[in-house]
Amino acid sequence: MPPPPPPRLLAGGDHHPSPTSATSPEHPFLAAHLLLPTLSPTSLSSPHLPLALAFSFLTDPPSRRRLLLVLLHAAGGRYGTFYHAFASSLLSLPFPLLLPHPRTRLLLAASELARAAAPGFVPLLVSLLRRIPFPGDARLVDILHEQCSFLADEEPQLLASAVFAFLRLLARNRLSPVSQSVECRDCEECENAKNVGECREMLVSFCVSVLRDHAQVCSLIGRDLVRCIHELVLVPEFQEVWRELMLSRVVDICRIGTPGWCTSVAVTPEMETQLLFMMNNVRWGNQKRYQLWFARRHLMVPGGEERIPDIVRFICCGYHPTNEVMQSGVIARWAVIGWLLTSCSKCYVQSNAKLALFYDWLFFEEGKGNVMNIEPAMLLMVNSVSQYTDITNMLLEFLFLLVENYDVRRKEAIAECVRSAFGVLVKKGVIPTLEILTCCEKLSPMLRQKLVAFLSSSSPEETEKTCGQPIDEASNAMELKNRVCSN
Amino acid sequence: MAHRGPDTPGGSCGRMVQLKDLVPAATNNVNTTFIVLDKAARAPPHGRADVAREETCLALVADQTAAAHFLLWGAECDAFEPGDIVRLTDGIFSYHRANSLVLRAGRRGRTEKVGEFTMLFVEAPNMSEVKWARYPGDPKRMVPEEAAGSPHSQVFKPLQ
Repeated sequence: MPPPPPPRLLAGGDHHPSPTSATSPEHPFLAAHLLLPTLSPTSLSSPHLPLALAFSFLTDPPSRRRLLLVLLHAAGGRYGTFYHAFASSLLSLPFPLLLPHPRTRLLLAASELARAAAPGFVPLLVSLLRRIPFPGDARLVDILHEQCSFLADEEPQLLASAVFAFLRLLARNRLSPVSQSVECRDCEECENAKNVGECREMLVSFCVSVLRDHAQVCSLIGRDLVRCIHELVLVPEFQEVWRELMLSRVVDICRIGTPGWCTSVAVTPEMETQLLFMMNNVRWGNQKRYQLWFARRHLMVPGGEERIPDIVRFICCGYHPTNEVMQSGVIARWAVIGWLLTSCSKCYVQSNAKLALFYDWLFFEEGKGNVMNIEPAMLLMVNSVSQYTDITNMLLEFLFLLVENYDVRRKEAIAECVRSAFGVLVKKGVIPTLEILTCCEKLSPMLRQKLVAFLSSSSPEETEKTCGQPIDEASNAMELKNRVCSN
Repeated sequence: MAHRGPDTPGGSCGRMVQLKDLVPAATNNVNTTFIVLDKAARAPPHGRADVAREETCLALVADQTAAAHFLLWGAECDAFEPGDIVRLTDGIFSYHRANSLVLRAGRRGRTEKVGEFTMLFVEAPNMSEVKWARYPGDPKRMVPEEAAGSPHSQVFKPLQ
């Protein structure tokens, strides 16, 4: 009787490359396994060991776990680059295609690497955090919980990423149970693998404990920490956190811009690849099919639409194109955001997406804030004026709503930041003048007046600079135009 | 990226061609990579009762040089969705029934999903809508008689 075929790592039928084909991502693992079919201490010096051990780790039954762990740490202890090679090989697998058993085992491998603080475990855990929710992901909370104090000292960015990823998951309300994988019922490890959806309390308690015990680490998240907890304020545990921990620190935390690495934690690597492809390669006019494919794959799935605010934050803070890219005729960030805003069918998602778009405006400080974070909102308003005036009106109205209501006790400070954002956008040449808005007849007259009054309300000199002409003249010119139009 | 990029060299034999280089011929030697842009409604199984009948589905596919109509056959109809990057090995570009010129895997060819999304494409010319004529000196050879004038497929309407 011929020996059974080697186990598979990835899902795939007749129309996926076979694992024996060099084009399959599974191929290097299988090739190494065939060269080292039985692993033993004598295999330690083989150059094929990282991939062969990864293959065994992902496919062997639980009974072989001990032997594999011994080999992993023996090789890791002997060869400086081994852990890294092992972790990188796991990272190279296309996660969405992993079969249920290899996926459970991948989490075990990640947990083992984290426990040993082995080189390469951080990118592996971050890539898993970006993919929640997925079946068996509760193991991630266990790993982070076990290593919490160590991570706070040694890998604070990873711990902050984890808190952000979990808070976003809670905020997106994606906690309806993920169906258990039915393909692997025989194996105890897979049977016991839980989803975070089933252990909401565990997730909440992990976040609350890190927020309490490692406040400094959490402030690495920057102002998006406040945005997240605001969204969760109806959850009793977070109400307490808000009252006891956040209230006194909100002003300071909001002054910290959210770093790009943090916003990318809340989008999957596949989303990131596709968004970057659109914004780096797809020329104006050719984007429709890509948008449709992106929407079908990522937005029109359960909980997909709730991702839109996170995608908007990623585009504003996580991807800043070079001048060369901006002038190359590819689709701009503001246009992608405009499309995302019009893709929201739920009002609360659209409001959160608009908040995400304007969030850096509310705390913008000249000289400190990054103009690239506030640029998409401005360009979306300005470029929509002629054909999609509704969008400009909607955004401007929302911006005023935020200034007046986002934090009533700090209303003046927020207004000052928003004025400063307008000013810097003109000063840096993002738009030549604010007249595009203040003198635009297509815009709602009420909003236009409000904008003129807002810009002039604290310092007329500044407004003069930013608007390009004295405010009186601007209003006079506008009045004149209005009269001409009405006659 | 979930899969290898489309630029990985490969195929069991023969060189990779671009869609603009397709010429109708009764030979199974087309090796190419394209992205699926759209799928039409399925056509029910059709043909002689004594051979296994399978459903088919016409798809619009494209690469950076041209577009073409691809006839998905049997299980291929479910395996590929718009946005998928597909490698065709030993395919055929020929007239299929009622004079429609399609690219397909045929009996000897093979299709594999090698990626998704990250490939640029053009929708014109559509090689399936080019008018071809036999070359006077060599009746086996086809040459374009008239280029397809439309900026998009006549079967698949552009997105609004």
